[in-house]
Amino acid sequence: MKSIIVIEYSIHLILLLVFYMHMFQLNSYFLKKHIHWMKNNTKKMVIQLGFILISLMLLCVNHMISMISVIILLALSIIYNMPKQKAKVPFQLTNRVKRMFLTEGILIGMVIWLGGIDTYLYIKLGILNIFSSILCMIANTINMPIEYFGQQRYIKQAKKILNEMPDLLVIGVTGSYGKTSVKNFLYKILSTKYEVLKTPKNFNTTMGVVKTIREKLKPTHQVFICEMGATKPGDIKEICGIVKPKMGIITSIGPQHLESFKTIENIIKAKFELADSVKENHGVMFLNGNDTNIANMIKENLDMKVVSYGVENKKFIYNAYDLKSSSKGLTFKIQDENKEEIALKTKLIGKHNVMNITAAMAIGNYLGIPIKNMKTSIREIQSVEHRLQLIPHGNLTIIDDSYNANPVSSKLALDTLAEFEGIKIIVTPGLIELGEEERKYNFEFGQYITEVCDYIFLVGEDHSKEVLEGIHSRKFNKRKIFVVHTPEEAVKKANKYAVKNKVTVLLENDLPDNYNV
Amino acid sequence: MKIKVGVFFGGKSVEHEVSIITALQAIENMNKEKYDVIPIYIAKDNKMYCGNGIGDIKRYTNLKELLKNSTQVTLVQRGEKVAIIRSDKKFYEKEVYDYIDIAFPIVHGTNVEDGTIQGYLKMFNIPFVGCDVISSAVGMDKYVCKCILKENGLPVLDCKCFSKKAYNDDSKKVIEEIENVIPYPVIVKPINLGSSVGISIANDQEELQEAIEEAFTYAKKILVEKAIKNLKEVNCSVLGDYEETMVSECEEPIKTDEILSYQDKYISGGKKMGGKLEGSKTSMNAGVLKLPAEISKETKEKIQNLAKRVFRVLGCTGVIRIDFMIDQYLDKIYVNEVNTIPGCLSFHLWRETNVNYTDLIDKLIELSLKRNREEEEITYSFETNILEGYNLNGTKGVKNIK
Repeated sequence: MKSIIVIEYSIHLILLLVFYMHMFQLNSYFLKKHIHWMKNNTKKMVIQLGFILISLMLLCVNHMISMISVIILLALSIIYNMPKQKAKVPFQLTNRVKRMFLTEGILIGMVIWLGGIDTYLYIKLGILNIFSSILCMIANTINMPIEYFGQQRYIKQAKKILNEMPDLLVIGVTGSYGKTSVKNFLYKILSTKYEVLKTPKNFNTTMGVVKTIREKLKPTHQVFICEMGATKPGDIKEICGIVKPKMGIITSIGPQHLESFKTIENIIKAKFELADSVKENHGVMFLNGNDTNIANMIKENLDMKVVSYGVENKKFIYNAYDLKSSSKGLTFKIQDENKEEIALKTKLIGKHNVMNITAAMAIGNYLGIPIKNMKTSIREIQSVEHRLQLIPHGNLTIIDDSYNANPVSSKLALDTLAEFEGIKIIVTPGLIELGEEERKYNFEFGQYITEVCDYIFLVGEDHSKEVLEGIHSRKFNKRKIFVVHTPEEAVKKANKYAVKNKVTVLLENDLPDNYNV
Repeated sequence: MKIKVGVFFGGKSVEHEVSIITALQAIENMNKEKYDVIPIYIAKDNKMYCGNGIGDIKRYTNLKELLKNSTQVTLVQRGEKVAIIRSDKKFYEKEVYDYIDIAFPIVHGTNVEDGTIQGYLKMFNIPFVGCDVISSAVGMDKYVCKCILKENGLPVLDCKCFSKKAYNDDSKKVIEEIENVIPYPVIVKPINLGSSVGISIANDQEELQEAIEEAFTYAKKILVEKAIKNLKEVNCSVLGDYEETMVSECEEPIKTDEILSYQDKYISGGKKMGGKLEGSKTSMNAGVLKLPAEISKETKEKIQNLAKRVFRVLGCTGVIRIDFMIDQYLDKIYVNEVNTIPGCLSFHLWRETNVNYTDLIDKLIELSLKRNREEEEITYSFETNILEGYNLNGTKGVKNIK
């Protein structure tokens, strides 16, 4: 009987350890972020651990019936804790995770050894279950020095590789939003003339960049486009210290990751760490003149070579004008190096994408590619996945903008939606990671939705509360608001309207699993 | 970090030896500051070898000895790289012999140049120098090549094409058919060999029979066309890709026999191969050609224009050589054949056009990288279009497909 309990506790422990490790991974192994997450999800944790607590109490009574009820209870709890749906961002068994599991294993082994294996084995296992949520954090702290030295070794290797390629041009791309788009567009344009490497997907941390250099950089490469993300001050400086960019671009600055940056000034400072580094390397910065925060910095003398770009402003060195947008894409004009007017066309939607394209064109032109020759590249540019990605489906058109929404980009997405004909529907769980002002931004987001959309689908209740308040603050037919559990459910319902009418569905933000539990 | 270039040469082809010469000569002329060259020898049984002696022409006089002292290798994709690994690794040896960033096939003739090696390299997603699979294959098959050029309005001689089976079944009928359409003298060629192997001229029925049978020892299909009496042969090389092309100076190979035979092309002067390579800074067929060709400026321009068109029609990349025939009687130019990997990479023609060998190789490598990036781009968009669309029916559709 006892051995059944031991086995059940062990299975339970493994399930919980894997679950918390997954969440820890989604929280980027940040202790602060993880603790914050635990605070927000106490309900879920209480349910998860409640069964264990009850079972431990029952075990104090050494009776047949209590034993049997413990076995049943634990079996139920195991079923409850089984991973149910497929995770959106699946758990990745990286080497770091393996090392943490090893440390956890050693810790667990030590606890079990304490006072002999047989004494109170199931009680020990039960207690371990209770502490499973913090085990990954303890393991992480213990492993810190090992991880640090490992990382330092990788960084050194990456630096050595770069040292051996003195002719490689490194272009740093950063910004609160638009950086992945600009990176991809730039890659497309530069590839017509150069052998280019870019950091894949959204690998934009120090270790992501280092990994790219170690695994993907080849001696044939001439240009390396390096996306640089910042979740805290100093992040970009660290990456620049490794790759030494000779060119840089800041696409935009807005409220993002406010939980760690606190103020917008800190964000500006962090993004301009790239400019500081480019200046040291006697390079040139490309700056988005349409962004107020960036424009203010240009006005203050940066004391370096700056190329401005943007839309509808003749003062910019690269200025796109006559923007026209429809559900089929965008058209715009720009003057080339000979002051000749060139008309361009793209399949992308969202007027801000013209800004992103202009950014890529500015750098491409600076590197000797005539604007005229970029026509094909620009026509063929694909939208970045889940970033205003247009997916036509007969009468139903989906605008997939589910990646990491923020106040600015979600407003842009709604503006884009407004240009579509027929019924307009939004599917959103609300915005996240906006610090103290999250409530305010979600409220305003709700208000803005009412100006554009005909139907509103809110996904989940937790984060959409403030959005709903915003919606209710305006006059909006309550019958046209629905709360659903998944975006898929919403799309299915929306599809019904598409029988008779043209329907456009905007999928705005899709929360990762650590926000959805 | 230098760019690692794997030069492939040899192969199961009658032009095996010529390929060794061309390849080792090219290696000699590669910029060693920029490239780390790894010679990879393909033996006549298609096994690949690496080793210290593989890049040394003198060692090829004793091939058995050379192979004994070399390492048999094969290509493998390792992570993002293409690795050369030892096929028969001894326990104390590392599995990976080396890595390559770019493949440079310098092979001639059937079973290698005809798209075979190009297809092999393509499977490794590695940029490779020269024509792609389809243009290599078309360039090798004289009949297919003729058809495509004809379809695109380029001047080629009319011909008849026969299979070995048709000849064996009814040789009389075959000869009759030829005689009905093409007057003597005729020229008989195996369909897929370069370097003049197996080609002969027939002035009457008896000679025709002999010529056909000789040609059939080299290929399953043969080609018969009119032999031009007052013939001048002129070759021209083209360098580039679908976007930009450059043409070289024209050369005129001098015939010792009625046509330029294998003897003339590569073994003339009775010199041994080893001896020839000593002076490899000059062309290996120096002495049997006139450079530039003795033709009028007008004819030269015509030929160069035709050469460019042929290059584009066949979708070539890199450097190719196109052989033309001029019927001096009728003052007519015909495209004779296409060499997708020309002997010596036609460097002597380019030297005459003010492109030295080292720059020629740089340009070829650059073009290979360009094509590779463009191809990857296409594959990428394909992926996003079809596999990543939002499926309203969920996974049901996928199940149905299964």
